Amino acid sequence: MSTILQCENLSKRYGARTALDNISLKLDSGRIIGLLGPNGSGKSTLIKLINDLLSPTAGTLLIDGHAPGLETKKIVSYLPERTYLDENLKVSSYISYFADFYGDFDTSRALDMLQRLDIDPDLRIKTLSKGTQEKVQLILVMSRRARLYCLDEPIAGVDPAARDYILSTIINNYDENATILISTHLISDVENILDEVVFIQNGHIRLQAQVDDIRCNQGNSIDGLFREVFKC
Amino acid sequence: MLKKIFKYEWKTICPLLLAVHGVGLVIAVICRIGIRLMDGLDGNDNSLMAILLMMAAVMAIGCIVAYTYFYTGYRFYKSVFTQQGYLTNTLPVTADQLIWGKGFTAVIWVSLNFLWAVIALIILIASPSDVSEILHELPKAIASLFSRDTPAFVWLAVLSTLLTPFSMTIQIYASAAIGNLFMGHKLLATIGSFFGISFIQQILGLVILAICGPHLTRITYQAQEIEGNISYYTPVLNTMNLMMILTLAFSVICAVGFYFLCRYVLDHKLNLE
Repeated sequence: MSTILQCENLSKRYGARTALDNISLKLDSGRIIGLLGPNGSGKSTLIKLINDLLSPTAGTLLIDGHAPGLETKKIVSYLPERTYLDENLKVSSYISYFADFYGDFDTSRALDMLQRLDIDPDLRIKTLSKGTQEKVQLILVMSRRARLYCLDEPIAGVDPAARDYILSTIINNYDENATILISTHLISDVENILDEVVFIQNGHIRLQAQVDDIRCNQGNSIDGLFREVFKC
Repeated sequence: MLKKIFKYEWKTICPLLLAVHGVGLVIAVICRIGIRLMDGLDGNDNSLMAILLMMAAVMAIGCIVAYTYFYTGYRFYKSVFTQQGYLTNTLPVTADQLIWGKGFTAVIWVSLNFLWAVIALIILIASPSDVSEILHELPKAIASLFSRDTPAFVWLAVLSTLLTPFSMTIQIYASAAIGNLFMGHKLLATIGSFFGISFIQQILGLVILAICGPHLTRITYQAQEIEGNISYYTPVLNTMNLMMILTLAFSVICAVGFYFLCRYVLDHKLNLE
């Protein structure tokens, strides 16, 4: 199993505030990994660093052996916690956009998912509900055949039915050699699909473990362990 | 990738700007008809109304010209430094490709905007005889530009005019990049940065001219004395040429500086909330 992501002594500071403090982490390919922690723990900062949206203050970060940049953007598919779609464009425009820019984008897969959700590609983004916009964004991101998917809070702010759809989309649409990094604080909703978890708090890694190990050795669910570790 | 960035930026930016410029032309035509119906601008009872109509139309044209600058700059700000930036900045493209791809679109529109304003003013003001005269004289004016007698000053002025869309666009982009560095009120910071940069540029330009101006005058007069050809005309023109070159060089240096500032921010200082 090869390493898809490796960071050593990685730090990110915003002025006097430290978002990530000297963290070291190694993630293997072919796994669904939960990046779990309370709000403000540094999850989004780590994901933004992976996507070259922020520069580290110190330390190194390698994705498939490359520092974040042009090469890594070709293999990393990123779902931010906010909607980035231009409201004036049509869904079909985004399909063409992704197909043009990302060599690994599978147009037929995207159209198929849209059809199954009964979303007309000719509709403009502004005519869609917020939940549907998030689904369109997820479809675009998951229709890439990326090596690493970074999903930042993919199920926050959507109803339970939509959560189920989103999680099934994630599971059904990734290659087994790819890695999915899901950042969330809604543990119980995602714990059934995770292979591995990384607990993060105040910019420090508190725990990195296999889900099966937690269940067998500690006799605890991920949600239960999360509540123990992050007890207020 | 540069072509793709250009293509999508062009497709996004065109509908609104085409509509706005189309409305501007319609306004020019309507005002022209209105002025004609009021028997023109010559002293009669309706002349005040005609003048007001003319002023309103010229203001509308001016607003559309200014809006084009604003909109192209806002598009860059919005697509790179707001939520849309999460997509733009994770595309497999370099910062150079991003700036050039979007910049070309803006430069083309800003240049078209200038031509459009000329056409709108012609529709508004010029009589049919004026138009035929302009069409008659234009080729001659262009041909005379390439003649040997054309002073270098004219060419420098043309060059300066051609460079303006580039320097203005990159200045707007640099302002957006500086605005992105602020923790809040980024759009306001962008607008403030633009006017701040313009003010500093004006002051620096004046200082440079104040320092170099007397030297340039002395150089050209000395050269004149060496040649022994006493003329009042040539030294003044030479001084103007040198000052123009100095101003142009200053604009180019600023534009290059803005470009690298923009690139540095995109590569190292992105601050997406």
